[in-house]
Amino acid sequence: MRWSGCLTLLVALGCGSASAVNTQHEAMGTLTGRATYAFSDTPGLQEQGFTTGHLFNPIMQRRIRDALSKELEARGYVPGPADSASMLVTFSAGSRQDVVTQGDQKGPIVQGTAYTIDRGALVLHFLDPQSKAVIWRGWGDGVLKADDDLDQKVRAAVHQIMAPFPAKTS
Amino acid sequence: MTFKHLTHSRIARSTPRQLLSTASALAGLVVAWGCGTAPMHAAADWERGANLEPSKTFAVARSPFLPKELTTEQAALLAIVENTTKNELTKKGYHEAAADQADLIATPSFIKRKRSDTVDASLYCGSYDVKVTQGTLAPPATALQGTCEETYITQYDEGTLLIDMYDTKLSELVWHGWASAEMPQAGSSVTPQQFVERATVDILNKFPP
Repeated sequence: MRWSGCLTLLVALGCGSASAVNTQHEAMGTLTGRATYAFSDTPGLQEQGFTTGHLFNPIMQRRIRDALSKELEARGYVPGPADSASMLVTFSAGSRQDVVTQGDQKGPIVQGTAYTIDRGALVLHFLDPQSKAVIWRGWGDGVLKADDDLDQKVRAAVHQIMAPFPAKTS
Repeated sequence: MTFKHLTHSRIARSTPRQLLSTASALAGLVVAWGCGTAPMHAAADWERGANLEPSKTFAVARSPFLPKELTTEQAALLAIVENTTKNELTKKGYHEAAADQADLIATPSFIKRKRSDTVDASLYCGSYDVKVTQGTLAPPATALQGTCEETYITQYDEGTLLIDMYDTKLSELVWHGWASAEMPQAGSSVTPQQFVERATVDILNKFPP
């Protein structure tokens, strides 16, 4: 399934929920034999209307890196130098505003009530260091509220997205 | 270490679109932030565990996200933000210092983006109860009939003032505050100067966390 298709489904499923993070993942290669990881560049998110904004600042990036490290450590993986790690980790995040209407109506005038919500999305990619091919990816999105504790929310999202990530096997 | 070093990585990551947006927002502030009656919301994110105690020294510096050349009006608004920042931090017990000696460096910047809003059409059905719902659930339309069941989707320009706080010893961004509001049409009783001052105060009410 293509990434964009997955996210479309994900967003569609999530529009009616309050604040839960909707997650999906896709295994695209083998993790067997991989024991070390290193973080790579953090590209901006430009998918399905999500764009990287001021919230994806160095504070947020360190937070995501820290939460991911803890998840990987709990599964037996250890950090290593980028030039010899057995997998590279990248992540990106963004937000977008949705107008929620009855029956997904579009246009300047809609029937019934309508409201706006802000959604945030987080995408994790695990790459083979040599081929740069994606071997595992996970993503999640949820409603962002004005008074959210971003630290708590993002760490919970990382935890949720990483839940199906397999433990190290030799 | 200088502020230039602190922000170098962020400058490198800035896209032309971001920088253009910043310039546009500043221009918009001058032209349009003249009648701010719309609700303003301030929030902050920060590095948990960072030491932001008021015993620290601070300086206010020019953000790399601002255009290099500012108009007179833009420079005047920026000066208000900078002076208000200094005043608010001083009131909280922080001490101003030279940029190369300060523990914390605050840098204000601006962005602008298009947003949508919903307006309940019951206004046009004899009711004067306009329900403007920015980012929140609209009230249920329990007794609306006919055209009263319609909701208008409108678009507006939202301006956001950002204040970044860097820890010079860690060479890291440790606090990020922002305040957003609609950039209204001209004609309000609130001046752009009052508007940016209020945004700055609202943001720094969140500091330290």
